[in-house]
Amino acid sequence: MKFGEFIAHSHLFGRVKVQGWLKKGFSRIHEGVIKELVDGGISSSLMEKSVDSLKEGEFKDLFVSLQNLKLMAPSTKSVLSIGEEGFAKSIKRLGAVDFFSVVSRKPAICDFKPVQVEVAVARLEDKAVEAESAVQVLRFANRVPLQFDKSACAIVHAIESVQWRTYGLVQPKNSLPQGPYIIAVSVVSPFIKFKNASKETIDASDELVEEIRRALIQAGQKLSKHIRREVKESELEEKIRHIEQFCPILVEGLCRITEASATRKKKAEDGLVKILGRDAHETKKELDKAHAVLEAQKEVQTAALEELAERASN
Amino acid sequence: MASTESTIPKFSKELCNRLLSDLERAKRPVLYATKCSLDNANYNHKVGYLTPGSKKVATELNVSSVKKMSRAIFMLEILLRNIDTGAVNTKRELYYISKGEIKHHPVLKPLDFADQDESDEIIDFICEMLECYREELNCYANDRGGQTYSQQLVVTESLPDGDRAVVDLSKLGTTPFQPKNRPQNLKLSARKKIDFCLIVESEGTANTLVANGFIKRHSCILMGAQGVPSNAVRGWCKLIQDQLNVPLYFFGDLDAYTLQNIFRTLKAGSAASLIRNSDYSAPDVRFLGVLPEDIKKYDLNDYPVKENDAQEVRALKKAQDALKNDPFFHDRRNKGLTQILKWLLDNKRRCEQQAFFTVDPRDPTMPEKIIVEKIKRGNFV
Repeated sequence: MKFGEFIAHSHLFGRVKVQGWLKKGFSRIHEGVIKELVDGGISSSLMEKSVDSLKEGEFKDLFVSLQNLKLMAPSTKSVLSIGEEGFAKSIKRLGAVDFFSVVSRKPAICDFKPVQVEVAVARLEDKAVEAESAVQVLRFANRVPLQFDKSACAIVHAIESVQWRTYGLVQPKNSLPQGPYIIAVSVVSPFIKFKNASKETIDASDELVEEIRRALIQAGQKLSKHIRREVKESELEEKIRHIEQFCPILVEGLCRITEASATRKKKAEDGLVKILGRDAHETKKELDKAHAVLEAQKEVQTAALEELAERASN
Repeated sequence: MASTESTIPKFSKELCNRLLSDLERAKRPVLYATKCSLDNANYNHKVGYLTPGSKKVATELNVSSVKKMSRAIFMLEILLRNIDTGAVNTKRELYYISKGEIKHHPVLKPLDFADQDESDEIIDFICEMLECYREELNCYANDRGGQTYSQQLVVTESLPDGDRAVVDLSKLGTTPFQPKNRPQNLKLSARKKIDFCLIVESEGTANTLVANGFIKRHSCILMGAQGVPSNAVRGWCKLIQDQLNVPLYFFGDLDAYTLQNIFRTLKAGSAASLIRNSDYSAPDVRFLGVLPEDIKKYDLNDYPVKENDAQEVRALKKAQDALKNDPFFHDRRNKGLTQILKWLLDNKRRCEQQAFFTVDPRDPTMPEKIIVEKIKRGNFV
């Protein structure tokens, strides 16, 4: 809160004592804090004065003393998440998706204000269409979609700051990642600071960008697990294809050079299939392992979402 | 065990038999090839050239290597057929032959090579596996460099059909003799005693020397190397050294690239061709110049290495690596060459062989006079 806001805030309370205004107007100021203020040099008579009669110098002393105190972080009960269902509705309008995951961060304090960040990452089924263009970004501030002036927005800054290549996405330097993906970010807070009067751009403060970035990284990790499983699947297919393609050719060639009999040829073919089958089996095991990790992760995610929904309904 | 031309088919069959037996027992076959790199190169001045160490590259059959192995066996079959029929091909031709085989036998389609680099890699792999030269597999590169002039040299070539061709170089006028990539079946003789053999890095400078009457005034062999010596030049120098027993001198630029890439390859072979250095290096060849002291002695025009020239900077970096890792430059006997390389690195200057023309611009024979004087005075490394 800035000094001007502090004074303006006092005017909302009319003719009340200063300590009454502080206790009523600020959720984390109580008797103990008032005592600390008095111990810190604020006169007790000032606390008994009417807010109306305070001069600017007195406001200033009070403001500075409060800044120097360590107050408990404000409650985060005021923020509510969008949830998986809400995100799903927004994203499905853009096309059929084959991967969808939501990360809901616990409400946190950014710039002394409660904020909750949620991120949804989805991949469109039609991969060819969007292969070389930047991902689609959906921005929400308190459930309101933001449409314009996205380049200066905290959400876009946070997306660009993540190394998406680690998670299997193509990303030119200092830009949005590319591909058939949708990244939806929701910022919920009673005090969202916008950059302009049209409220289209969330101010990119370091703390807020970092909070969004963390949510994006968690979403990226989920996505990369999914992509890795797909890669493993394609590797397995490739290996099986290799076995089918090259085994007969290799054995055939060896038999021609050595002028081997048909019996030897058959035996060698069987042996080769056994050897390469073992490799394929190993890959299958790795694939199953990757699949199990993904399933476990899904379970954790569902449980977390259910818990969140329950909390919201309470 | 290294293969020779006569043993290649036998050795190949044994190798294939071993692979087949392993497969029959469902055991992973492993192919071993000599590791052809500097970290597996040994140098002994008594031997005179870089020899392979004990390191081998093992390729075990698995899903990833089955393609390479299948391709190797496929290419080996083509090469064995060539050896059997006596047919000879270049790497490019072998690439197209393999393409043709695949075209006529669609079942081989998975082996198809996307470009020549892929088929070349397989041919090199076969050579390293069989420890033989590409030429022994009847695969020849284009003959490059080695244009030779002499008034005394006579070359007798044994032809595949049993005939013999005799080439008297003195009868060729200003036309040079071009050695083949595999000069081992040539026999050399001299009409009269040959004093020395001069290998000139620049083909153009070699031509100039001949045109100015160098070979008429001196009983010698004059050869143009044309940059990094090809197999033909390397094998030809080795032949001259072994059969004629004449001193060989290399005359080239004073720069890191010439010293470590051109001269080192000519004298001791290269790391990439460890298995064939014995036949493709001339250990007796000496570095005649340009030497660092020549710059001062003859007031030659030298100039600094361009820091922004990627090739020159790379050569200097390679020279640093060579001083650290190349066993050739580590040998005490090659101390003189090592010192030149250090001088080049410290001073970052270079001087071209053509700089000898600045000594007396009006005397076209001045470079010749300097070369002969240097040989007479033993001013070489």
